[in-house]
Amino acid sequence: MEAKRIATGDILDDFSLKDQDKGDWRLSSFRGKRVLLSFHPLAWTQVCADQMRCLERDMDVFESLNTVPVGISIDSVPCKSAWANDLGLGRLKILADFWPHGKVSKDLGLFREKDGFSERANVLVDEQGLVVFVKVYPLPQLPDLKEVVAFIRELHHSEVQGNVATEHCVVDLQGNPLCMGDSKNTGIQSTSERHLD
Amino acid sequence: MLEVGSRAFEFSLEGIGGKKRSLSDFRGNWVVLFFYPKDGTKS
Repeated sequence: MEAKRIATGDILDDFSLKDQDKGDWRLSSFRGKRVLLSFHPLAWTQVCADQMRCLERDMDVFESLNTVPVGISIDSVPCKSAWANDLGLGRLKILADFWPHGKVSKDLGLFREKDGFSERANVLVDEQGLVVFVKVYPLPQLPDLKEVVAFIRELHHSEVQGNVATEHCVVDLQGNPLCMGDSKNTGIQSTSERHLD
Repeated sequence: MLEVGSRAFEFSLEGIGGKKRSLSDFRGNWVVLFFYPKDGTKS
């Protein structure tokens, strides 16, 4: 049974998945923050790697906008763990929607039955669990994170008047799908040094 | 489950580099099918 695809205005049911460090990641424990669920097909593939690196790179931007981004794919915890090391992730959690296979992506109507993995998609959930942004991307396309951040920023500024967020990092995304390519401004080095967990 | 003495059925899977291999590609050789739970683990 294919679930109806999640849409803006829906309330997302709570769910819990393991992250790359075997920790429990529960949506409802982030109530009061926005959550960006960034679905991707498979670990160890180029576009998915860039999708995760972009999120890691912009962690400070997301934090300033009261938003927690997470990566989600059907890969298992050990696989996610090895991949996180390979990507040099320091703060970004990547969740294993492994068993029941693709349950979360199925529940959100984002599972590709014929392929056995999820769509590439960004779903933004607001502080109360309301879905406020959904975008599904063609599989070979790196999601335009700049667009997502601009959307969040607009929400954020309409709530927090006068709080002007900084423009750093995000501009690098434009026209440069390989965000590892420019190392100057990416923040990847600084985040790996910080290594919070 | 397969039993000793039964015929293995033909199948194809994608391997490293996205190359599709079929069991019948190896006809004439002994084939060991090594199943394991998950990638990225010690055992």
